[in-house]
Amino acid sequence: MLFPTLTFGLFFLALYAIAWAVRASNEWRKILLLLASWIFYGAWDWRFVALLIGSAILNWGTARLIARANEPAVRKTLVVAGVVANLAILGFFKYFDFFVEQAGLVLAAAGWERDLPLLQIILPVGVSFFTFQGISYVVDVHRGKVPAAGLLDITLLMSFFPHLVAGPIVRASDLLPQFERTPQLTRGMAAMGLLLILWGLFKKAVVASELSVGLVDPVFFDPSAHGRLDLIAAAYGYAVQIYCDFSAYSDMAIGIAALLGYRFPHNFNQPYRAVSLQDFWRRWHISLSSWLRDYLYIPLGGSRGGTLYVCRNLMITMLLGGLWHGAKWTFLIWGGLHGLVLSLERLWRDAKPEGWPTLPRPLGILITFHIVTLGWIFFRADSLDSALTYLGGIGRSDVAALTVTPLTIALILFGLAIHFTPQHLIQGIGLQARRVPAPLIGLGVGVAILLIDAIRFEGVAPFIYYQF
Amino acid sequence: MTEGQQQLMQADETLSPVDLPGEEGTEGALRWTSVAVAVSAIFLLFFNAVTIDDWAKDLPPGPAAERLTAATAGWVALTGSVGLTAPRAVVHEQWKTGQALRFDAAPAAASPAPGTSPPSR
Repeated sequence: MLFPTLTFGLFFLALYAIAWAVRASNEWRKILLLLASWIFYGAWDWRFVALLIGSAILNWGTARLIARANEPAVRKTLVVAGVVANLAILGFFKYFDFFVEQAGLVLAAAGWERDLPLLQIILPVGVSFFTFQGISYVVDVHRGKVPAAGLLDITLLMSFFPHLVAGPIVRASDLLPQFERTPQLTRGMAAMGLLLILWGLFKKAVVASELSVGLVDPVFFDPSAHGRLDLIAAAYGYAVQIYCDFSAYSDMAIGIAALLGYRFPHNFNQPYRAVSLQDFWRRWHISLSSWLRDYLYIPLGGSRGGTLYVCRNLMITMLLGGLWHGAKWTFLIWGGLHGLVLSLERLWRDAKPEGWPTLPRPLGILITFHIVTLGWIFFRADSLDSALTYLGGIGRSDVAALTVTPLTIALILFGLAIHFTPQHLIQGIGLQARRVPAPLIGLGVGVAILLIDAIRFEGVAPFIYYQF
Repeated sequence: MTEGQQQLMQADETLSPVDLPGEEGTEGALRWTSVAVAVSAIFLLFFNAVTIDDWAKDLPPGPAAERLTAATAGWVALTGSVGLTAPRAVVHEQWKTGQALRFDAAPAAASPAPGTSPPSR
């Protein structure tokens, strides 16, 4: 079930009405939301629901045992076991075949060619998101940041449909306290919820879909058949597409949760106006970057110790961050590129001679954006060969036919321009909207959806981050 | 800088983008939201009958889907006869004209439907 569809719209309308109708009992409301979340998730494959429930029980049980244990050594053993179990689920579904393939290649290179068994495992939608959520929960219970919660709350935390398949990675400390009492809706929350849903719908159904089908997909499908202009435009196009696609999902998830009375954290903050890669990671997929910081980078040693030690931590974090997206060398290269540039920024910050000027802000933004776009070429390419062909084509391609159109150029410019609007513009609109009478707001929302629907691309492609 | 702008500067420090500064109470908020949602749904029911019909046509075939499709087709005809489908059609037509523009003035090839294009990532 995809957000920008009428099927989901009807599902949500029914759930909204029932969830608020039963608000007298918070427990029943949570049970209802849980069942609705399983229906939402089961629309992909009912078998995945069993995995989700199993994962929730695993984390609930581990956290309970940690909370009851008094000995630090026992608590540590339990948290390690919990993390390993979560990683085993992720590893099996996401990486098993990849590592078996790589092992086969290594054996073949050593002269021991073997037919290793590939399981052709179907990747459960959103498995990376809910396993990371499970890991952060057991670690936070171990650290004493959150108390061990009941089974219903943990299962709902991991299954709650707005964030289930593509984030934001909502931590237990953010959501569990909200589950303890029936949520209250305010006009501001509702106005922001409606605005974020509309804005997300526009970014996904119009900008991302048009760029994907009209430019990015055909060019990346066969880079050698396209000229330099198409290749450059498609690289920028993908930078805009992935932002508009992924941030649209986050906006809609935050908006949908808000209409049900729950607050989800920020996940994007105009990432292409970042002046450095470090700044970029404070603005892009904030819930993942803060997760990697708190549960990987800092436990590795973080910024403590010498410069080279910090660079090592950055490289490990970004390489694993790349691998989190999928079992492909292109993701590792993407993560490696980010790790390398973050390390270089760190080295320069530590070694920069006193009195040297800092980079002008516009130049910093331009350089950072192009490093990020270079990374996206690897991220989007089907294989390493395809990425190299793509980059080679930018340097020497002479194919004359054009795939890029005036509309796709306009959408790319629009997608970049929205990064330079005043910060918190949408919250400013929300402040005004909450004072408007409800029928007028409803009319405005209806007109906006009608306009978006009239110009959206036919059909709905899945969100990019569903595959992760 | 106005007070509203100053308050918005603090928005990064809130848990969620839906937390607005100077939030009023919760009284009447559910009613306000429900009315807004209901009005927008009714507006779309009348002005966006084409999309409802397209959705019904995509449902798995069966007797219930057949009955629904007949009903939605009738609804499109009814709303169309009083001009309610015209605004959507005009905007759609304009967008398609923009979509068909090419730099090299070559005949515009129809864009493939998402399902038929190379896999999107």
